[in-house]
Amino acid sequence: MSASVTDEVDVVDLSAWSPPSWEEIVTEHSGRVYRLAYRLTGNKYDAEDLTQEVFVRVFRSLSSYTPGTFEGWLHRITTNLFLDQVRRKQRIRFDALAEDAHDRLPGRDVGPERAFEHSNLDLDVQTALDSLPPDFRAAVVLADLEDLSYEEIAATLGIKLGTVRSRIHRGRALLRTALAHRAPTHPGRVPASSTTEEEA
Amino acid sequence: MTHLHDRVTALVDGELSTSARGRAVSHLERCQPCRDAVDAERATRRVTSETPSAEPSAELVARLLALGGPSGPLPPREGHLPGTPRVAPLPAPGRGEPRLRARSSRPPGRPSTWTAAGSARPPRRRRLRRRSVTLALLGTVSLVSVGVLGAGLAGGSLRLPEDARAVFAPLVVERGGVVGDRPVVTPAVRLAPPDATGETVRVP
Repeated sequence: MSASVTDEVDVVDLSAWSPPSWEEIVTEHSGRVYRLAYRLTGNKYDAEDLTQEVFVRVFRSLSSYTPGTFEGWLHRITTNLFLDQVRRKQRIRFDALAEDAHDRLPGRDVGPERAFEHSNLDLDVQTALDSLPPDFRAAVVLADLEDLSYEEIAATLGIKLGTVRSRIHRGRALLRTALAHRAPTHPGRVPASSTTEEEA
Repeated sequence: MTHLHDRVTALVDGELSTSARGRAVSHLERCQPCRDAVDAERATRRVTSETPSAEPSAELVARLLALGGPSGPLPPREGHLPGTPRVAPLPAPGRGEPRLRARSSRPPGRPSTWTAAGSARPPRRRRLRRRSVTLALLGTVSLVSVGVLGAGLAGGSLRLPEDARAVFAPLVVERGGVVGDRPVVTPAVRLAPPDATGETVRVP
């Protein structure tokens, strides 16, 4: 603090300053976090749980929040919590179901309740996103929904730039396949890609 | 040049370097399959970016709001939250003395009771306890009520440091800001003889 700052100045500053209320933070950011959480988890209940968990973390950590973009902070918390949860669930599932587990992952039943959630949404898009491996889904969603640069995605997910590139590339290819029926102008076969994830 | 392969994705996302982009564009001019691939990639990106995601329900928002407690303000931050005015942080414990000495509001020649005690701004909890002790010794009715407030602050900060700090921050800061000749406890300090005050204030 500058030596020229007197106590009187402090008093003026502090009396004029009101910290953002919790209500302001929730109002401003809950939509963004929930939309991201919904795209990642693919259903209302998990998205609500994830969103709530994110805001619990935000509330707990506000006092230690260091300057930076608040949005970037929310992206990091949301995606990392999501991927942690997925990994935990996968461990449990593999423990419980052994090799049977893999066959059960892709086919997700879209019941009437879930279809209702999507009344204003595009069910196809979410179903296609759900079919992506979670790591790919996170990269694609951060790029397409949140419009982050590859560099920002790398920082958010703690991965290398080349990994971001290949995850988005492969994720989009999988999405394209899943959405093939809704693309009338689909050009058919594209040049085969032999990219592997570790290739930068 | 070979086909664009995964560079199609980076091209569509605007993530190719200028030179790589130039090479890619000149390749596209003579490669129909890669042009198709770029079109397909763009279409996929458009679908995922333009399809609206779900909005949070009112119930969820209510639950999130409830996380903040009953209209409780946030804990003060050292850092600066984007979109909020920058604010001078709370004085750190033990750093008060030089600042207090630099103050101009104290009449010249008049010794500060706080500096005489060895520390102008002790950590808040100790300061509150000192106040309580001082006030108890003096025993006037109005001061006792302030002492109760002080005890309440101390109790709150013992149980829930973060919350108490947040809830009482404005109060404490305002007092801290006028420490010198006119803090809330000034009457106590003024009434007590300097020596006695010094004794009292040193009580841990």
